[in-house]
This record gives sequence, C-alpha cells and structure tokens, in this order.
Amino acid sequence: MSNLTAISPLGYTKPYEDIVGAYTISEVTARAMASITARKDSVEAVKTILTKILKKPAPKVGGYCAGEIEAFWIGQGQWMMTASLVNHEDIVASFANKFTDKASLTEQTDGWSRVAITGRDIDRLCTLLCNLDTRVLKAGTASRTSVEHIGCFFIRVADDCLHVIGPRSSAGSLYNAISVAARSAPF
Amino acid sequence: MTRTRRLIGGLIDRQLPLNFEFDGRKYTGYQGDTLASALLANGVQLMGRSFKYHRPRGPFTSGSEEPNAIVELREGARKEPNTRATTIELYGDLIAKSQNRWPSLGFDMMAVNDLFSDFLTAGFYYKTFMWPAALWEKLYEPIIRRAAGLGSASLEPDPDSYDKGFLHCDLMIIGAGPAGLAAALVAGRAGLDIILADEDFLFGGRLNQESLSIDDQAGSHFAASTYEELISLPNVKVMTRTTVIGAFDHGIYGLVERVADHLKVPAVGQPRQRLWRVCSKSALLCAGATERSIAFENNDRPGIMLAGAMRAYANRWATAVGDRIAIFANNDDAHRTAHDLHQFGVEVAAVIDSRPQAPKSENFEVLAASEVVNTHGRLGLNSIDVKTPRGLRQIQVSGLGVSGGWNPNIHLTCHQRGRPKWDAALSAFLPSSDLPKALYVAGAANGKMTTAAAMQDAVTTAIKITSDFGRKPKSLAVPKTSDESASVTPFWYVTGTERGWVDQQNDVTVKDIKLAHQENFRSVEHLKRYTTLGMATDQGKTSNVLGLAIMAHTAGKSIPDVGTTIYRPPYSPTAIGVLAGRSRDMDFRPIRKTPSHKWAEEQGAVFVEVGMWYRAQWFPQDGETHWRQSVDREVTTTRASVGICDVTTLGKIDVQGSDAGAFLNKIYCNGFAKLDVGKTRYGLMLREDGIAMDDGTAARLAEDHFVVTTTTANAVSVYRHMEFARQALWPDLDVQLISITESWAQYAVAGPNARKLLSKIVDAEFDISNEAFPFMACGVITVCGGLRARLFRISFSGELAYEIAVPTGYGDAMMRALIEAGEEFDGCAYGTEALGVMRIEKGHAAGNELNGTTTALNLGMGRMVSTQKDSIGAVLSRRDGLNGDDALKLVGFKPCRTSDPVPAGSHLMTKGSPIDAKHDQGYVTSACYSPTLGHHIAIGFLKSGDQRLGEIIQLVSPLTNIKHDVEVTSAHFVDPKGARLRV
Repeated sequence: MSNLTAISPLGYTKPYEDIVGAYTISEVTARAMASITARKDSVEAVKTILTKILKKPAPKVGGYCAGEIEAFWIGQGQWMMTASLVNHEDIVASFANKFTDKASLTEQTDGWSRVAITGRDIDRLCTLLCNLDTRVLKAGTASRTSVEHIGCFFIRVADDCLHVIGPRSSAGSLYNAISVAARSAPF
Repeated sequence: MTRTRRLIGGLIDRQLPLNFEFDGRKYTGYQGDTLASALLANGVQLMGRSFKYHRPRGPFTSGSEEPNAIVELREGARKEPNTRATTIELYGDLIAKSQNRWPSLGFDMMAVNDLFSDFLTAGFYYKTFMWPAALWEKLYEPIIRRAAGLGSASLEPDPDSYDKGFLHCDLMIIGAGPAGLAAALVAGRAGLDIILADEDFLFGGRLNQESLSIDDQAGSHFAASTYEELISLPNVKVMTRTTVIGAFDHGIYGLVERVADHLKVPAVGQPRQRLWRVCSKSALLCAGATERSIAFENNDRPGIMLAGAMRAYANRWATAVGDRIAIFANNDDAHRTAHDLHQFGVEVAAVIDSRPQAPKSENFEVLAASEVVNTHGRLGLNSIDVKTPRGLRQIQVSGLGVSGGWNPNIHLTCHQRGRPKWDAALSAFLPSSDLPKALYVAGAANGKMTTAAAMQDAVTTAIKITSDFGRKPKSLAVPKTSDESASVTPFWYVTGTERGWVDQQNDVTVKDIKLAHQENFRSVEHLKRYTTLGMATDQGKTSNVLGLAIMAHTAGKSIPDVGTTIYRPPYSPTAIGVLAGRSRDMDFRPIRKTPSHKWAEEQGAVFVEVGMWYRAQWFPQDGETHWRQSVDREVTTTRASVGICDVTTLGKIDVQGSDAGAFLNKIYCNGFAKLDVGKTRYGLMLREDGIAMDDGTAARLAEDHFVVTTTTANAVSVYRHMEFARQALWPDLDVQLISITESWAQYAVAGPNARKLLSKIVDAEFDISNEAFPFMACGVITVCGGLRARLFRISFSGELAYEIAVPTGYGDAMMRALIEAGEEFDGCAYGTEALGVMRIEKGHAAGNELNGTTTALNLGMGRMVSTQKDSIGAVLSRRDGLNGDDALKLVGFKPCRTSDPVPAGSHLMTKGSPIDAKHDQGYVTSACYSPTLGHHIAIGFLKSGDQRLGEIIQLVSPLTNIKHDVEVTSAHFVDPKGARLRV
C-alpha cells in the first residue's frame, strides 16, 4: 500500500459535498474508471465481453448501465467502465485479461472529476449549464455535452440524480459553474 | 407643482403606490406603471432631448420602439444610459435622470444647435470636417466625440451577474398578444412543447391597451384568463419580460429575459438578466405591428405621440397625455383613440383626417381632408395649425395623437436575410415569402390588421404546425371580437414640410431625406448611412418605412422600386453583459490546474496562464525581490544538484493497437516502428505542407502500446490531428487513441542528483541505475510503497533527468514527497521560467521555434525526416522553396559585450550591410539570461546559420533601439555533446 494520500479533484482528502440552493452537489471519488475501445473488427466481441462483466447488455448509443460495474457509451465501439475503487484500484489490470486483445483499455480514474447533483427539477438547473435537453435524458442514459466550454459526460442516474463527469484539471471551474447555476436556478 | 392626469380604470394596482424620482423630483406611480406612464400621469411630458438639435421630447410611443423618452436609469455602478422610459417597469424608489442636456432638461444650452439647423443637415460632418486635414485629429474628432452619444456610462464594473442558458421546444411563439395567445392555446392544448415569450411584463399585447371586447369580456380579461390556462399546462413555458432578440440558423433564437430589471436590485444569487439560446423545432412570429407617424412641421414636441400609444396610456395605464387632445391620421384605427379618450372624459378637440371620406362622429369634430401643418409650444404642445378645405385653423391642444398606419413587426423574419415584400393594399411591408424553414408568421405581423383576423390567422397556423408534429389539434373556436375597421389611405408627409421629423431620436427630417436624394444618395442603404435614419437605439422602428416612403415620393418612384431594407439582430437594445453571461473576471474562461497547484500556492509561486492552464512560473524565496533572482537560483540549483518541475500540462496521448507502431511511423517524420519496448524516442510531427507542427516523445510501454507526449500548447490540436489521421487517412489500421493528459500527474526531476533523489521514491525492486535504466528508457514502476507509476528517462534541461508520472489524484502527494526527498540534496522546485532558461541553454526548440513557419531543416533536424518511409509532410518538406542553400538554420547567439541583452524578436544583419528588410538575415526566437554562463544568450534562425558559427553579426531591434554585435554560436550552449544526460 502506497504511503501517499490521494486528494479529490477539488483538492480534499474526502469527497466534497455541499448544498446549494435546492440541490446537493457532491464529489464522487469511490469509482475507478477505464475507457474501453474495441480493436479493429472486434466491436461485437467487446460487446459480448462487456455484457458478461455487467451482467446486462452493453450500453447502446447514449446508454448507461448502472451496477457494481457500470458502463456508459461514449462513441462507436467505445465505452467508459467504472468499478469500485476499493476493489479495482488498478482497473485496467483488473479487467485486461477479460478483454484480451479485443479491446484497448486505458486507465481514466484520475482524469476526471465526477460530481453528483441531486434534487428536484434537475432539468431546470441543466438549462443554465449546457445545450442538452436533459428532459429527454432519462434514467439509464448518458450523453456528451459541454458546460462553460468544458467537455463533459452527463449520466442520468435517476430522475433526481445526475452525474456530471468533466476533466479533472477544470474541476474547480466545473464545480463553480454548477454551483452558480444551482443558486440561480429557482426560476 | 405637477398635476395628475390619472383616469379611471387601467391595469395598474392602486393599492400599491410607488415613489420614484426623475431629475431629482419625487413622484408617485403605481404597480403596473412604466416610468413613462407614471411621469405622464404626473403631468410630465418632457423626458428627453434629441440627439443632434437637443429638441425637447416626450414619449412618442408606449413600447420598445420608443425613440424619444430615453433616460439614465439608476445610479452608481448600476446606472444604465439610453434606457427607454416606456419599457421601464416602475418599482419603489426608482431613480432616473434625463440625459443629453446641460445644465438641465428644461434649459439645455446645447439647444442652440437647433438655431443652426440649416448647417447641421445630413452629411454635415462629411462636408465640414474635410479640411484642413491636420485639424481632424486634434480638433474635429475630440469635438465630435464630446458631442456624440446620449447618456453616459458609470465607468464602474457592473455589479450584477448575468446568466446564459439553453432551452428546447417544439414551438416557440414570439409575442403574447391576441395572435400569440390564440396560437398557444391551440398548440398547448394539443400537447406541443411550447415556449411563449413576450417582451412585456403583462401578457396580452394590444388586448391590454384597447377597449375592445372578446367573447363579451374585456380584452385584458381574456388575456389574463388565457395566461392562467397556459401556465397551468405543463408543456407550456410562459416567459414574460423576455425579448426575442434574434433568429439564427437551424431554428435557434436568442432571448433576453429581464429577471430583475423591475426590481431595485436583483435577489441574492439571482442574475439581472438571462440570455437564452432556444433550439426550437418551429417558431411562430406573432409580434404584432408598430404604428408609424406622419411627417409635418414641428411634429416632435412633447405631447405629440402615436395615436395607438395615446390610447394605450389611457386604457392600460389610466393616463391622459393631455387635457385637451387632437388626433391626426389617415386611417380608421386612430379614430378609436379619440373615441376611447372621449369615453374617459378627456376633451377631444378634433380628429384631423387626411382622407376626404373620414368617418364622422357624434362625440367630437372630424376634419376630413385636413392636415396638421405646424405645431406650437416650447417644452410642450400648446396648439396646432390645421389646414382644412375651409382654411387654416389653430386649435389649442396639449396632446396630439398621430397615426400614419401600422407596420407589421417583421424584424425577425429578416435576421437570416429574408427580404420583406411590399403590400400596396396595406401600405406596409409583409414578411418575405421565403422564410427560414419552420418559421411561420401570424396575426398583425402577417398583415392581419384586425383582432379577429389576427386571431383567426394564428389559430389556422397553429393548427397546421400542430398537425405537422403528428398531433391532432382540438378545434378552437375563434373568440368573438369587435371587428374594428383597419382602413388606411397612404399619407406620409404634409406637402411643403421641411422640419418634419422622420427619425426623432437621430433628428432626421424630411429636409434631410430630400437633401440626400438631391446629393444622389438614392439607394436606401446609402440614405440610411448618409442621414443616420434608423441608426439610433430604436433602430428606426417608427421611422424606417416613413423615410423610405418620403424618399420614394421625392424620387417619383414606388416604395418597392426604391428598395427595401432589412433588420439585423438584436431586435431591441441588449446589454453586453448578458451576452457575456458569467464569462467575466476570473470566470472569463475555465481554469485548468495541475495537481501540485495547491502546493505551489503554499510556496508563494507566481503563476502564468498557458492556454487555460495555470503553471508555476517561479518560486520566490525570502530575500528574493526580483524574478531573475528566483529563476537564476532555480537554474543553478538544478544544474548543480536537483530540481523538480511540474510538467503535467504536457499533452499525453495513449496509443494502442496492433498497428500503433505503424501509425506513429506515419505521424512522425522520424521512424518509430522499430522502437524497442521500454524505450522512448524524440519525435517531430510535420503538417501536410512540410512545416513542423509539434514535437514530443513517444514511449513504448508494450509492443502495442505507446504513450505520446505533446507540447502543452498543442495538446488538443495534435490529438485532433492524430484522430483525423486515424479515422480519415488510415481507417484500416488497428489503432486506438485517447487522451490521458488529465489522468497522470507528471514531474521532471533533473540534475546530477536526480537519480539519487528518485531512488528514495522508486520502490526498491526497480533498478533505475544508468545501466538498467539508461537515457531514453521508460517503464512501468511503483513508487512510495506500491503506487503504480511510469518513469521516463528524458531530459528537456540537458541534465540527467527523469519524468515520473503517477495517477493525478496522487500528484499533490508526489510533489510533496519529491521535494522532501530532495531536501537532502538542497534541491528545489523550478517553474516554467527556469525550464525555459535551461532549454535555451541546451538549444532545445519550443513553441517560439515551432512557430508555424519553420521546417525540420530550419530546426537542424533535416535528417530526421526519414526517406525510408512515408509520413505526413515528408514529401512537401522536400520542396525546393524550403531547401534553398541559404535556408534559415537554428543557431545560438551570444553578445560580444557580455552586458548586452539579446532580446527575442530582434533581427539579424550581416555586419556592414544596410539595415533593412531586404538584407534581413534572420531573427531571434528565444532569449534569456544564462546564470550558467553569466551572460545573455539566445537562439534563433539565421540564413545558412550552420555555416556561420563564429561570425560576428549585427543584432537590431528598431522598436527598442537596440543595435549591437553578437556572435553566432552553436544553439547548444551547455553540454553540447550530451554527456550529462547519459551518466
């Protein structure tokens, strides 16, 4: 076990959480994440492997599959997969043997800042964040969009819960954009 | 003393009186008033001065088309000039001031301009300030600038915030008058996802301003009940105080919502305004129509306003514009103003109608075939001169309503270059027949000029739109309305008028338009620019068509033959702040921070913005008062012992796949296919045209796995370039790319003690000795008791150096661990300045050298462009033009007199040659003071530089008055053979 202590994207040793306006905004740091990209002519094989891992069908375009191992579609033949950080800290090593040479796995755990927004009427909040009609982003779906010029993934976990995944280096700017919108949102 | 002109009724809340102040005097109005209506109700007609002649002016309209009643609203940092009193919603303790006058609104010294009106005609500036040319900058321009403009800005930062957001809908209905409300009912009840927006704070449009009934109830009651139904529908978003300012491509509309303009200050956390970008599958323009004027002599005095506005002030705001009024019109609609005011008990002196067949009235005198030929009064209207078939009459009045007909509000149909078409029957422009896809127009905006016709048109159009969405609209019985007459006979200006105002805000008169025609400015676009017609804050909403008509009449042409003008966004004046939204100050753009940012802040680091990244530039220590002291220390310490630098910002791209090596072989101009696993290689990428694009390294972690690094500045463009090549050029290759810049924190550890320091960090099972881990080696290791990491033995400083990468979450801890481990060696952190100094000392190219004009040959890397394989840019890099004998070559420069600087940007001249562009020999790209050598050094490009080592040349910088000798040297000032790298 390393003697180094990790910090969250917002710079804390524990996930930061705050209540802003009608919303709770909290960092999600307990998930390891890896990108999975099918190698040439292996998309179907990767889907099959992913389905076995998820124990559910691999997410289709715009899809998100929740669970102990979760995944969401990010492009043609590409998915992000996340798993418990405690159990899969080196997530690529954990799953590489399952994909063999069918996919390229790249560790993404620390590349992103993941923020959970919970509260009623999240779609109203989102109108101030992005050009994505989140009313059609139902639970079990995911999409790319941008927030204040920051490229993000939006995952609809539930009607009252949205996860925003953005680049770690801009975690502060992303959090600021969300919290400002949350304060301004009751309209 | 002021006198009240309040009438009975109206849509104001008399239970909520509001105190306010105008030009230092206190008044009282009511909730529901505008500033204009409240002032008029208090007997104040004079609210502003005109732009050029400083003529006294009062409100001319009751809406956003207002040209005259323009005031400065609020005080201090919130002061907003050029605000229309007709749209300012009254709130408690409102403070407004008149503008463009001195010393007071009632006595304006600048009104002397009016006496010189014969000189200040159209084109005055162009004709007058032509000569002598020398006076332009020193005299004319300062005078014009001093006189220009209406209000004054506070010059303080805006204390309010602004939001920007996005909305989506099936149908956006623009305007909530009778047509918009009817359409919203049809589509809303059918379940369409609707946005209904109106600039007013009260839905209903003219329904609130007329005495007409709808279904046996007052029009305002119909509007209120419809509003209640619409807000109860979950699929309808109603937006009051929201102006649709522009119609853009692909069904995108810009809306400005005035969230807090009706409040003294915005609520905590709330913005003043919001800019909405609406992505709408279809849109229905129900913007109604704007009344136009008639030009006659002195038609601009306070008390003279559009007849429809006079009616609106009475019906909606319970305000009479004058005690005794008259109407001058060419249409039936204006007679309703006289009728309504008569009902309120206001004395109607006469209705002057230009038409011989004007309708009669039992309640007031109608003067048919008559014209108002002049008006009298100083700060307000006292009387009018009327030419009747029986002779000239003077009538004492304090208010005059004018109507020349109505123009459909077609502005938004023009925002994508739609050209309006003239309708002779209506004497008005109608929307183009070639509208943008899914944009519809209904109601008065579509030329349906009665309430019944407008609502019927809206219902029919809404049914069509709803059906197009596959919905079955429920039939809506069009409400029964008073079927008012809209008969109009064109009448634009009174014959013989000279100083009859067309554009009241910019002081454009009939005379100006005739002069423009006389001076051959006959295109409508030339007319506008020469006379400034329609160029003020009201954008000519009440003047453009009138000006065009007078121009046509003067030219003896029809209006369509003169030409049509179109409108641009925004529809009405828009605060720049709302276009910026939250993008101001530190939130101007997103910030990217490295994982050691917090640690660097603790050290007092001075940061520099590199793109969006914040990088530590240097780390001042106690006693260091100048940045050079810090940078020199960091360089010296690193070269003597060890330094640590956060290089996380470098782009990092994960390249995997069985063809990863072959792919990189095509991307880089030098070979990569045969790079051994566990090795790193410097690589140069060329653009298609053979110019150097970016450099970096590629480390082979496995047979099918590379990590490519790019410069910080080009991280995105290189990734995009590689992704394009992968998808478009070689889709058959098995290669996958993904950015990992953010995933790994990376630190350079450089200096003779670098290995000793790292030995304290790298776990013992990994041998990093020179033999086991030589120069350009790479590998996956663990550090600090098991944390996975990547180690690269590469050097930008020219010293024994490594770059160590750990998952970003551990970056802060890693930096602290490295610094702690380095204390034993008196090591230090170094920033980007020291990094830059050391790379110049070593002669490494960076952004200044990879400047989009240089080739591998220029950079001294010509032989890196492999001839054994094909790669992007290789062929075109061999062009003759890029390979001349005198091609620029990267070399070093040191001053002949060691105290001289060698600044970047300086140019190089052969000794004794003329100093001019023709004899230019090259230029300096990067320069610094070298603490290692004890003098300034530089690198740059010199013609045939590699053959001129030792030559003394002249360094010149005319901009900074520098001219001295420098010696051409190798670009490698420190350790030219690279021995330090390999120990």
